[in-house]
Amino acid sequence: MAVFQLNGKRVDASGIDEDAPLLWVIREHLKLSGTKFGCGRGVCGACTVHLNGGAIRSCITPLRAVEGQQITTIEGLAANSDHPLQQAWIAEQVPQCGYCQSGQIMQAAALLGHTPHPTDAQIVAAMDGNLCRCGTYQRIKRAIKRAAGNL
Amino acid sequence: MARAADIAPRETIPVSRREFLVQSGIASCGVAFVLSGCDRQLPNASSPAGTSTGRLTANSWVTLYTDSTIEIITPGIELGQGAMTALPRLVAEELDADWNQVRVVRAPCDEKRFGNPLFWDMQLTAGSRTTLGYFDVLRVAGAQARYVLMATAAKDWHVAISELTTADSIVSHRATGRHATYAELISKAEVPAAFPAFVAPDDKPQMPDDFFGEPPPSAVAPSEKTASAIALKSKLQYKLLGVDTPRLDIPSKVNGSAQYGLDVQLPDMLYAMVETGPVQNGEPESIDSIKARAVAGVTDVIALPYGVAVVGIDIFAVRRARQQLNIVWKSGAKSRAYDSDATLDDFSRMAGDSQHHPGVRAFELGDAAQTQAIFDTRAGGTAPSIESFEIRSELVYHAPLEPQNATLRIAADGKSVEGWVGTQWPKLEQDHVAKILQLKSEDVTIHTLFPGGSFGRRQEPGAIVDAAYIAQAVKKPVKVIWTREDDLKRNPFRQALVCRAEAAVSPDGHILATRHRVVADSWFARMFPDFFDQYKKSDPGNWVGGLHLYDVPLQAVDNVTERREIGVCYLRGVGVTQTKFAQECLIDLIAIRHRKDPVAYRLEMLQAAPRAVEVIQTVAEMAEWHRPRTGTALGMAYVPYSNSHAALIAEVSVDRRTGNISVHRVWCAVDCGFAVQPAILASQMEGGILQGLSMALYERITLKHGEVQQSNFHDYRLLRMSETPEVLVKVLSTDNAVTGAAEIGVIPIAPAVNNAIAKLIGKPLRAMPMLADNVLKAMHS
Repeated sequence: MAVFQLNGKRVDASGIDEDAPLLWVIREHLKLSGTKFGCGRGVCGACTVHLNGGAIRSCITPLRAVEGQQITTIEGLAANSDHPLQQAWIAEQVPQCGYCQSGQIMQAAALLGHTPHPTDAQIVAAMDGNLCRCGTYQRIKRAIKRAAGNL
Repeated sequence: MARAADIAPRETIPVSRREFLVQSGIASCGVAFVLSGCDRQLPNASSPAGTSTGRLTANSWVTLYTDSTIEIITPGIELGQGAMTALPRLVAEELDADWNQVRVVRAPCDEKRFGNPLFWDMQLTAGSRTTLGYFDVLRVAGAQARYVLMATAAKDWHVAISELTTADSIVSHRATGRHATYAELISKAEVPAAFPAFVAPDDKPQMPDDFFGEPPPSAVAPSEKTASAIALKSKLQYKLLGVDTPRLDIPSKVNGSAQYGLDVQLPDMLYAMVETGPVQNGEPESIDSIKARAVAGVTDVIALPYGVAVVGIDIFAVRRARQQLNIVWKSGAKSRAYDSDATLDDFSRMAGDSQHHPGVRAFELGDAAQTQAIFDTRAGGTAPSIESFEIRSELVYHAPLEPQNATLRIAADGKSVEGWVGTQWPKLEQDHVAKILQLKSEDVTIHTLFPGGSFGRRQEPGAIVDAAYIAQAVKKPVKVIWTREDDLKRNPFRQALVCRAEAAVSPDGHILATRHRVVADSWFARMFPDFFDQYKKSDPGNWVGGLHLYDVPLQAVDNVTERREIGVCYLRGVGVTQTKFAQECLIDLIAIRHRKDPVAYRLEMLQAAPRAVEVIQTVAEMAEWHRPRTGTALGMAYVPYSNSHAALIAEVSVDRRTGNISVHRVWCAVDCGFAVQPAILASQMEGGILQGLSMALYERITLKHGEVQQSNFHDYRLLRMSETPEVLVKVLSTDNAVTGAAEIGVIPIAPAVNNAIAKLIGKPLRAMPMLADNVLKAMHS
């Protein structure tokens, strides 16, 4: 039985197939739809959430792997959607269609969690697995720098 | 499956209202679309306007509430291009509304009220024509609402309306010092039976458009009819237009609350996925679904005309059951015949053989016989030299990050349906569902959500077709989800295209004639055969890129439409991306052969096009075109497209060992006329340039025996952050009529990069995408 912490609250996901990808458990069972489905094989980053503060691809993470762990989604990143990255994303007017941006922000938040003042190279290395079809990469980079106080 | 071809838009409009003219000898454009005797539609004061407790509905677009909220309907779908912000801004400007009080509501599917006047009144968000198409109608909508409020105050205060002023949602009478907020006037307001006419005295008129020709007459253009009309604001009076504001959709897109199609949840909703065959348009011959049905949670397995649907109470069950299906597909699917290399070989042969494959003469300028003689007789002696550049461009996947999906609920009595979908064209979704379920279109309500990437793909229905068949069978609400693999395999791709651009050049480097021969399959021909017919059996999306503004007296554009077994669909930038690649690389080729600087050479030939000169000179300054570089080279391209102008310079290097192309910096200057929202326009250009770069360098779909060889983002490569150049965009907001910006960023990047490559390795590449392998081959050939 998979019990885990989701955005600080205990979630009991028993009754759900333990092989089910965490992404679909979060989206369809727990009704938090901010985490997105993009590829289903961990190659686009749209489904990025935090497992104990680190970025993971929830589309290839089975429910059983998060038993007893802390999962954070975009909805739980900051109480009032006021995480420095979210503010920076607005200041830089980053999103276009917006579909990849939850994953982008969660990936960036994990980066700033362990590297509060990343270099350009560190930003690119951390973000290179997150695809954006609208081509907002340059603004994403700028927003991360802004949030890190490097601008 | 519903045959899309049966559902042509605007079937009911008499032909006299949409008369296509193929014009010869007119420089501005080849195909003109005329709405004879029909002004662009304006909001009228008939229903649903009126007042009721607590609110005032001034017209189809504006409702004011006593709590000060001003509700504005936005007709354009927010695709990430800023329509949800830029369009209401047009209304708010003329309404003199306090922008902070504005609440934006999506228009329902109702082409009569909300159709785009410059898009044959279709409610279609595509083709870079949203802001310009609604520019007049939305300003008038705001002006009408303002008129209602001023008339109310004038009556109440017993003063002349001409003595009143408005600002920030307040009406004022200076002489008496009286003020009233819009909200305060609502209870006394009456909507008149008819509004006065409005006129925009200093608007520059829309120019003939590459696709649509002469625009229908603007109802706010100065004329006899508008002699005593009320004037709309001049640009000098604008407080909201031309002034940047944060996009309204962005806050919801940084906290996960924005609702996309895939996020819809309905009570008792089932999930469905559809297995389709190894090739497009396959048909199941036999289905063994015993094991699939045995999976716990699966409720139905349904045979569709083109596949097999698995339905269940949760998505894991459906996914697992789908893998248990055992389907034999009918042999002989037509799409089996498709092979990417063979297709492009055929197209190339046709492009070079105007005798056997003349195609449709889509455009010509000057004496056609003379043009023909230059290119086909190849006279010797002092005749001009013929330079040519042929480009082979492969199929491309739209690749929206949100795969196709749709949710459908049929009412218990079966007489009405609701659908939820991210789409660019709600009416077409509605029509498809209605046709499958044998209902009237008005019995189908389409709720539009944010689309997670569109780029032309959501101009035609996808998963909603599956949903209609499935919902009909299961009698419960159903959400259909395409996996990435489904989405890629079932996608109608951007057309493979061969464009042969030719120029007859005098010994001193003057271009005397150009001819473009464009060979491709056609989205128009597949989806809208009546439109295709009216464009003289050509597809303007494929050939309008052959038009140009260079000072060349003889011009011709020919379009060969070669129908193939794999459906194609316009992608942002349409065929212009491909034909301009050929054209702009050809220009560089000629410049270099005649030892002319590519920037100077273009300027020489564009003296009659001051807007072109301006963007080219601006970008040359931005990039310091003449500053020598070490290890990198600059390439440039200039693109006019439906009266927008963009010039772009890319700084590129090539790894001579691997053939890898790196683009380091991109500069772009763009003139889309008056920039309604300059910052949004700049972000559109950035995004377009990067999407264009992704397609230019990496993207291709290949088929063998009709089977798509790619399946997901591990083998369909998109641009990543590490490959992203620094992009600097300069928006030149000019006094010209508003034009579109959604596509013009996509187009110039590929030829600019190739022109830089030519400097680095001595010759340009002749294929898109510009793969590293092609660089190595070109270097060693």
